[in-house]
Amino acid sequence: MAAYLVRRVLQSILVILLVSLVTFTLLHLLPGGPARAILGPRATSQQLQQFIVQNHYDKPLILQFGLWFNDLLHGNLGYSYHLNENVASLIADRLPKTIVLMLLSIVVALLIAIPLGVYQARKRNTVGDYVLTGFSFLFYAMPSFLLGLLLIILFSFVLPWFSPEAPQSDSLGAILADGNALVLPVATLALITIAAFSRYTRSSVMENLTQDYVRTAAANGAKDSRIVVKHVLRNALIPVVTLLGLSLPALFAGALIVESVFNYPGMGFLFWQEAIVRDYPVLLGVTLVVAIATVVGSLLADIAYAVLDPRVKYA
Amino acid sequence: MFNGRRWLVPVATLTVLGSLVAGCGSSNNAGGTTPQQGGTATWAELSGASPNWIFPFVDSAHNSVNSVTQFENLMYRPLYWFGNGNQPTINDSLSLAAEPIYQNNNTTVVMNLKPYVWSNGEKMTAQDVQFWMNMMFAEKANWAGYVPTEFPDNVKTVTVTSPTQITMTLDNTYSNTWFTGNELAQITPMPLAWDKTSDSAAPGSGGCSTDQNKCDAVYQYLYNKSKNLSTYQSEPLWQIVDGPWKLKTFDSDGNVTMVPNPTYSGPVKPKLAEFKELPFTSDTAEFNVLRGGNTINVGDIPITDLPQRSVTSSSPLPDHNPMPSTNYTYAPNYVWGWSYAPINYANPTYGPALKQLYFRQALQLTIDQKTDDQVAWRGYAVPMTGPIPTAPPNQFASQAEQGDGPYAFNIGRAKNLLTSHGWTMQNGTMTCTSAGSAPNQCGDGVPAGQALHLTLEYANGVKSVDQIVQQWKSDASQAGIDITINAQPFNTVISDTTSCGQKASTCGWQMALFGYETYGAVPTGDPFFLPGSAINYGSVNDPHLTDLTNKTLHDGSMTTFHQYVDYVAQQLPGALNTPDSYFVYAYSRNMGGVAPFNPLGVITPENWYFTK
Amino acid sequence: MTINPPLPEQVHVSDTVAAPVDSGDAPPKSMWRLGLEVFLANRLAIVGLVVVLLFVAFCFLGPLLYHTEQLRTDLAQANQPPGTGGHPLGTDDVGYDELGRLMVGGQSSLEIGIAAAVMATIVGTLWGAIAGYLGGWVDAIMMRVVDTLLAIPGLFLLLLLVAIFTPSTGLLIVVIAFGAWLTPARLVRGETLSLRTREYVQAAKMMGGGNRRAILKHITPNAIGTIVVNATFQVADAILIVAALSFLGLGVPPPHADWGNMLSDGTAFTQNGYWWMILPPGLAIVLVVVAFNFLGDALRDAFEVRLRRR
Repeated sequence: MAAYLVRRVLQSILVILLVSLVTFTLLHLLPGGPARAILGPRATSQQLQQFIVQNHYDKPLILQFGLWFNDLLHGNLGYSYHLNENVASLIADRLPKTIVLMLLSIVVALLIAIPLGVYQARKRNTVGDYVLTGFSFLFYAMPSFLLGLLLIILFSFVLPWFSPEAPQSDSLGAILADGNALVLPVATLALITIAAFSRYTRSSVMENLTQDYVRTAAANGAKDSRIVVKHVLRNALIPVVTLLGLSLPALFAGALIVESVFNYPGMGFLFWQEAIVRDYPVLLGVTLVVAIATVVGSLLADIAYAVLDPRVKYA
Repeated sequence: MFNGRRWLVPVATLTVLGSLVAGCGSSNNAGGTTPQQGGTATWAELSGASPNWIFPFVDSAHNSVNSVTQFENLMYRPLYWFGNGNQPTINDSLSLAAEPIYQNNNTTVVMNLKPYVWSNGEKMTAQDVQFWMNMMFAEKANWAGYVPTEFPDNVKTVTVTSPTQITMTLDNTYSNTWFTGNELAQITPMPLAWDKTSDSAAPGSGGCSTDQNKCDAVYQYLYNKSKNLSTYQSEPLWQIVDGPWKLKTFDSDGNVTMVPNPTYSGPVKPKLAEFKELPFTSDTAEFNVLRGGNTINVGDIPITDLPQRSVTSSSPLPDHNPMPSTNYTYAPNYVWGWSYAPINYANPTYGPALKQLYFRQALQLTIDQKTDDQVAWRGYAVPMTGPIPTAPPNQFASQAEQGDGPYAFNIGRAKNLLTSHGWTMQNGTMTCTSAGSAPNQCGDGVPAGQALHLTLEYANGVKSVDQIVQQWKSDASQAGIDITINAQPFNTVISDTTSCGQKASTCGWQMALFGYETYGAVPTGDPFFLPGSAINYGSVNDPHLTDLTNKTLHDGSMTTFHQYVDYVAQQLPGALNTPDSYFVYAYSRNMGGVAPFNPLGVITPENWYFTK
Repeated sequence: MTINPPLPEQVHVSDTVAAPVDSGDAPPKSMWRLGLEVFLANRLAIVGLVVVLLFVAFCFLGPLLYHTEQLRTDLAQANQPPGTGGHPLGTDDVGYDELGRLMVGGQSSLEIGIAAAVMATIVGTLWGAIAGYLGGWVDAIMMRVVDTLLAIPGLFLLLLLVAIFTPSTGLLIVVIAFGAWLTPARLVRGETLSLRTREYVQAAKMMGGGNRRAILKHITPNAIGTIVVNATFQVADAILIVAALSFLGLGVPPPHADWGNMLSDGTAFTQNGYWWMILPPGLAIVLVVVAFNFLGDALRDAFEVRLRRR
């Protein structure tokens, strides 16, 4: 197990490096470059040239990557002219907001999806199951911006219950305390996640319910609900853990759209805005952070899977 | 949803500003009219445009219009202020000096400063102006508004003739209006407390206010301070202001709070207790909050959320309340700029055709501005008939621009122009069947058999522009001109349009569209039409036009100016006019002093107040 | 790449080798027949199939019966509500007939979805099969490439690309497929790992059949279940991705129409109540995506039965 871990960690580091290299190359090979975008149409060619030289955009690609990487090792992720901030502090500012949004959505989604999935598994192929499946698929199929918009119209305008924008404060404490403003953005992200998670739980529980150990327990006189809670759930939830790890990229994407609709300047929104203005340092920094998060997430998921499921052995 | 229109900031707009003539309330104000002291007014920033630079000597990389007009100008006053109501004219009461006195055949300028003080007790003196000018001379390569041969190149000497008087000698005779409105407008006096190179140094120790050669170090010091966003609210340097406001809180997301500067020496002291600015991720997000009626006091209504304005309406505003909340009243916010589509004379394929006047006229005739205004801009736009906007009505717009202008939409006329110049409709596209330079032929350099398949590259993201462009394509095709529309991100369009270097091979673009070019106080054409100018995108080189343009810089008469405008309106040099839209702003019903808005984009919250 | 978290049907845990299932008795019915029966017994599957077929007919056959001007715009006729001027669903923001636009847009959406899914599936299947079959360091490298690309959220990758190149339909298909081939690659690799130990594959090798033959003739067809199920979901996902991109201002620009950009354009007019520009494309997207998901779900059940019986 330890050997497996070490191997995976090394592989993960390699993957992260490769991600940076790929993104770096992609950005710098595309036509146009960042100079004109940052300096504007009225900049003279001398000003452009000065900018290019100052920021090393005239050096060979591999040298530029080396410089960037070297800075990275010293904790310097570069500087965004467009936003007049260091990339590291931008990320430090925005990332927690996105994480709060994602975590809340995941927690809410799990709290609803798992009981839902269990219910659907036990009452499979009944009307209730079909209806819930239908709703699951419905939310899954709705573009997230449409869902967000509908929620705002229904619960902010028609029924003025909730705020149409997410919490606006800078501090995490204040954000978490502003419950009313959190409802709609979290709901938008969670509803879509619930659809996926509940179906996963449903099929996972179903699979377990047909296993021998369940029949044995039932034959021994254990009550239905006890079986479910004590035995089945523990086993059924193992794959859900993996699912969490795999969902991270999708959640980032979903968060991006929710951030834009609900006026919540997190990291996803940052990426979109800076992609449009070719703010290379920010794009590289955010991609790196997301890659790290995804790789770590999937590693943790695999480890959790191995720890929880004694049948799985990693060589 | 996506960013609103993009504003391209020209030279003089950086330091141009304006306000109401002091004391005038707005006739739109429906509430009571007794101004109250106190209250917090909240302004909605346009999405994606939060202030993030505080040092008034802005470089190109940090040149965002909102940092200047909605942030810096509130704290650090430019020497001359522009904007009276909705006119971009000089505002004497808000300027820091009396109107400049031109002598010696307009080659000497004398400026007498008013008694202003800085918030740290320093008096504002001519030295402060020299401080700025020295930095200009030393750091012009870093000045966002720098145009070679113009300011400060056209200034020979700057002398402090008394503590309250500064004299400049110029390298030529210039038009007073232009020199004051576009050149002197670039001056923002800086306090001697900024003239240093380290935190513990004494004010003035940097030497930049007396010696140009010392300015590099001082510039670097202040530049680096300004790069430190997180210190804006705490850094003592930035607390030294001469404007009506001081910064109270600032964060990197764009939330700004300002409080009145008690030592402001200007004529209108703020009545509000606090002025706030809020950032928004998108137009939709801003409107969702605006319509609630409680959070935002002054904000823009996105065009797609405005009701259709009827064609017969005499008011520029919506016919009925666009929002469920009744807490607001509305006012138009015009843009002092030129809305046009540059065309490329240097394009290897269609350059020769585009250089022909009749061809540009035909192209212009296929743009249905009236319908565009009515539908794409939902009624909140007027046709652009030349380089000077006609809304709001102003002295710079010439006769040729009045009414529908010389080229109102007419497909039949467009077709005739083409057929009478050697083009024939073949398979739905006009083809040159009579090549040559005679008056009834295609024109010099247009090859026989050339068919009109042009490409229009435009910046994506604004729905109304998508509509206009599609309609143009459709209308032009009826006249035999096949336009391929190509939407690209704004920065790609800019990059492509400015890449026409020495090589013809990089000059692939034919027609482009990426928004307005905003003007300084005086809407001269030097950036657009002088050969070699930075934004002479189309490579225009017309000696008569060059002459007319130069005349407007040196001769201040409105007749000369109108001659220039008439010529441009008729010749369509390197540009086709596109609809001129305006914003509709909502502001709280119980507020006064907000409207009319300054067309140069500056806001003056010291004029705002709540009423009983 | 998905824009939503993956449904269980789209994912297997691929680092562990799934134990191959063998059945002892000969099945009473043929595997395909059994699968088909399970499929048809699933009511939701029927609904899904019918919906998809209806929409395909609507989009591709509809314009033959219902002619509208889809080339020339007519701004003067823009934003008309249903019923005016003979437009049953009104007109859109440049004057096109909304119903006709819905058909044309649907053609695009379905084409992009299906093309991207097919491309992603083919590339992913081959990649995964080769990696799983050859094993060893080849497998390690190939799967690390997959891991690298998986580590960049698909939307971020797309944003990077489309912020610089405004996409044409072709570029959009390639870019979506570029993000989407990773999942089938992983799935097929997992399947291949389990399949290559089967007797008939060993037998084929011993009889002298080459690797390529083994991959193409034995592994791939047996992994078909996973492949097809995954492909179904890819179509649905592609349609949603296009909608998200349009919302972010990075979809295929006019005069191209697809449900995604119709919906995102329509939502701009929510305040003015132009519901006929919002509801039809929104409904179309939801119905088609749900239908494909039902199909995928049912196909998975059907193939599962097959597997269990084998």
